[in-house]
Amino acid sequence: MNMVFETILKYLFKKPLTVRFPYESLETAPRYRGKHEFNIDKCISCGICWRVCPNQAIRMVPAEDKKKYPKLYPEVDLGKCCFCGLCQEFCPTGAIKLTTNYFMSTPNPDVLILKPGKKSKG
Amino acid sequence: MADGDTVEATKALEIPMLLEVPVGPQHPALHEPILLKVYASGEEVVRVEINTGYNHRGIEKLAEKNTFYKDIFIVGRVCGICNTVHANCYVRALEHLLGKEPPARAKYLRVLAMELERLHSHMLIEAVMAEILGFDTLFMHIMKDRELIMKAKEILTGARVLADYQMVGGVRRDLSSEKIERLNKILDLVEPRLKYYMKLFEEDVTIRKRLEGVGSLTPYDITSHGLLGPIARASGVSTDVRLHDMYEVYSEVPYRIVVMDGKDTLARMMLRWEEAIVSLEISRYILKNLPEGNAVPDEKRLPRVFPEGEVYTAVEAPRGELTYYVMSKGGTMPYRVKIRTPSFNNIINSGFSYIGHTIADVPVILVSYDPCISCMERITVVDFRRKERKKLLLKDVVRGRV
Repeated sequence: MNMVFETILKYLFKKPLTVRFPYESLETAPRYRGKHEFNIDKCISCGICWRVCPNQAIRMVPAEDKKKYPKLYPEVDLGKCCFCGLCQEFCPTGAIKLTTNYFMSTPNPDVLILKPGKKSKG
Repeated sequence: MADGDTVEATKALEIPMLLEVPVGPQHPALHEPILLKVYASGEEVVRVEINTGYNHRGIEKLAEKNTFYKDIFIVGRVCGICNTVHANCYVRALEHLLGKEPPARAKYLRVLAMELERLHSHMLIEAVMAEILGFDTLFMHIMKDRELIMKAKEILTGARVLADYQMVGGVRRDLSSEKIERLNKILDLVEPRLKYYMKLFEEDVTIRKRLEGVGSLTPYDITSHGLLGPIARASGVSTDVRLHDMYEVYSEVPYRIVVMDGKDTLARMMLRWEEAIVSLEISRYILKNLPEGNAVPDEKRLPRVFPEGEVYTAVEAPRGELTYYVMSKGGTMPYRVKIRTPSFNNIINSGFSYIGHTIADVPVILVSYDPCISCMERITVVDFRRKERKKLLLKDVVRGRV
């Protein structure tokens, strides 16, 4: 019985374990593999990321601004991605990077396709 | 017939009354899709049919169609809870094929990841058992402490669940001294909690009454039905790949095999707590005695083409012995990858152990086997026209004799 009161008193003056979600969120480890970040200016269109991707989540597509970026660039489908981080490790110039952002749930599946040269909305 | 007259029966027709109770595939007590067709006479279970196949994804075929390196990530998705052991078993098979030996530091880090995984896997099944027994608060408390281990795994590998930590010739991320300190702090927090829960399962009257003597398995049952892992060890059968094979660095870390003689559900749950404490000791030893060196291989310089050969590797998953057979005919893709998971043996072969118990004991016994359904979905052919279900050899499927 003492144990029960002890536990109650201990937890009474503690902060709650949960966080107020939409306003704050849990911190991830720095090496967490989350949403991709793609820098089109660094990309050399070698296509290694497209070849190593185990889930074939990456396609090589032309960019929207074809005059400035005439080659093919990777387009990541987050719905297919397994977040292994191979694209980041194999990229010779560091153009593709996985951030610690894990807020990817959305009612609109189009948001999950990261087009090259376009800033993602989510 | 006039009112009030009674007719004495001279004959009675006896109809065997068997009640068929389907437990699953979607069932509040079972967290994974499996169907147990329980035939009960009154309250007593007389027969159990185990139906699987709700989670088959064709991973073995997928592995044949992808390169050796992509398969490391595909086999990691066979099971969420034991993904590092799957990857480890496969990666060691590839290393045998290539004749490559990973550095000592990488081996230590791999064992650390696997032991953290065993720790959180055992805590998960204990929590589920607590929930099934009606101790919802205990479930919350164990899950709260399990979250610390998940955080430790995230610090080490970069993801809470799907680690993707291993690569041919080493691991994919190294561990710095600051991270070792953080991991040590987490282990210090978890250790007293584990001991407290163990004492709770040992002393609590309700838990003892519910689990003691339920689902007893003799050592003969274990060996004749090929049951593996904690289930075998809780019945006094000393079987553990970590002890027999001494793969990675299990010959160097302070590993001790835990064997109990209780034979029942309670013994299995107590054994898991004890093993969790052993895993914690191993993790602590590794964090203290991590050898120096480079653990991360240069992934870009690994050979793409593999030599011909066959490899058979085994690893001790949280649920028992997990084996991989990898066959290479040269080139960049494996010819065959065969996965044999412990849950397949433990669940499909254990139908006999429910007989004689009440319906209420069925979920308890099933959970004490730690079912991992996504691990065990392999090939079964169902003929809808003849309404029969049969198991086939793979060569017959390939030749179209289905």
